Amino acid sequence: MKELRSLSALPNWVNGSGIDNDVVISSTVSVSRNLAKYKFPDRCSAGEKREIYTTVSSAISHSDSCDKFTLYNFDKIEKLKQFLLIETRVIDTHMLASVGDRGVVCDKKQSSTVSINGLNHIQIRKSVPGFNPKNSWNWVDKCDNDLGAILDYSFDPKKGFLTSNPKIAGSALQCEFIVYLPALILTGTIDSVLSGASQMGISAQGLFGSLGEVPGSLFQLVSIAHIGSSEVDAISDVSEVIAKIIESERNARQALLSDAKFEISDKISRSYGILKYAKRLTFNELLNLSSALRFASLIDMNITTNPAYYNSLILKNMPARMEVRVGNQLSVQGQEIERAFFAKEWLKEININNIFDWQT
Amino acid sequence: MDIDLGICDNCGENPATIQLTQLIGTNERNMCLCEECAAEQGVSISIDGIQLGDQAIHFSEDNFEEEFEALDQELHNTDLPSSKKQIRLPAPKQIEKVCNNCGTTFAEFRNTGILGCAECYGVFEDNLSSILTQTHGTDNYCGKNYRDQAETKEDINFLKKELKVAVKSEEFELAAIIRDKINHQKL
Repeated sequence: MKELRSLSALPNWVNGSGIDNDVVISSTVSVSRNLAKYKFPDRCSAGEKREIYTTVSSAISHSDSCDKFTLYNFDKIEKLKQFLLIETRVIDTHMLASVGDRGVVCDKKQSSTVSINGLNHIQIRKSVPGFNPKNSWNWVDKCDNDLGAILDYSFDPKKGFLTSNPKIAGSALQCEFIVYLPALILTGTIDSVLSGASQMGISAQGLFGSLGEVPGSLFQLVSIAHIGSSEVDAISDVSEVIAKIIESERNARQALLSDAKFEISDKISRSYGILKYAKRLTFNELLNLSSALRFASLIDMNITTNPAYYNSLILKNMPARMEVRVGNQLSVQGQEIERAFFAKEWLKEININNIFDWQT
Repeated sequence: MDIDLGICDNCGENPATIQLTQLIGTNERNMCLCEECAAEQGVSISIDGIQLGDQAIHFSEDNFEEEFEALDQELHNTDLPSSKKQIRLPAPKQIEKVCNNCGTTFAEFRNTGILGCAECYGVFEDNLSSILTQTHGTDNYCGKNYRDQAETKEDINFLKKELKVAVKSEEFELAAIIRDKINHQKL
């Protein structure tokens, strides 16, 4: 039970601090590695997976970078704990679906993690709040050096680090950003901005759901480092593109404020009304409605501006976390009712002052 | 991989061994024929040569490709009516690449995009080179250097210490890897 509670605690990257936190919720950098001695995980036997799991987890326990981390073996832990880790994006659904000894080692804040026997033998990852991939990279780099010193990585001087997916071989470095882009969506300019980013090697999809539907105006932007760049250069290049996206979003917010203040205040007021009085809310509804209030906070309406409130609302109302909070598994309808109840209580916390008095 | 042409389009009975492509203007019409029906159309192919209408080309196995090119050239040059007959032979047998270490075939890789082990990179090198260049813009690695063997005295001392700790904690798989790194030292 204690472990459930600690696993369902909110990760560090949700806390709304960090640079440019009005647009960028979190930055994540990861590298993937494999042991030279073994085939890639999907081709390994159960015995080989066990050896890899034991070897890597031993190496991690030798590393200062991973001091006081906790190890979770997905072959042994209950499904609820697995889902708690998926909700914070520590691991992806591939880990759920595959078999054999596999898992993840994480710090208390679920921000610095090393996963074992996912798509590759090792993935070292760190997420930080706001726009700060360099901060993530510093820890990832150090941990990679620690592990690489006592393990034997699969490496080719011309091709770099070898991974199961050849498209990420080389630095095997990946940058991910969770970003909030409501103004670009409202002004209809999101497609051209994202298409420009795609030309620069950054792919975008809705954080929840596919590109067609983007509940909560939340996107996940992913960039894969090129073989022809150093890691530091790759992170710099990506950062430039993200900086442009941040600028576009802020310009679009200004434009909306000067041209469409009345429409926005109407939209915000309606969202507030539904949140306050609805008896049931789907997850997507919660995302969209709270996004309206988050937007209000960013354009100086009398409302709490701390992004942590809006981030935590989302995470706390995902299925596994709700189950831990309530104490038992909920049906879909049960989840919707619980969400609506939680939202009502949450509104009291976010200090809305005279939202209806906002002058147009 | 042999192309399976199925049953003859004309008689519907015999297995087809000849694919006849007719170019009529810009339209292309394919027919798969057995040897008998092809012969009725005036086309026959044997190990010795090709008979096309009243033209006969004989060729030896040695310079098959050159002769075939020459035949193709002749077809283009001859003053044929608007329907031009073109001969296509089944493609030569291709041996599918397989990685001996993990058993991944090229077809599997093409379907999933995932390789099975480090040796696949060597086995499918030609196919990968275009992927790597396409995705990365170049196929020369410029990232951090990795030392997979002990290179300095500090490395050796560090590894020896780690080996002791691993053995003491009964981490035998890790100990084996560390021991190999020490043994393969560059000093």
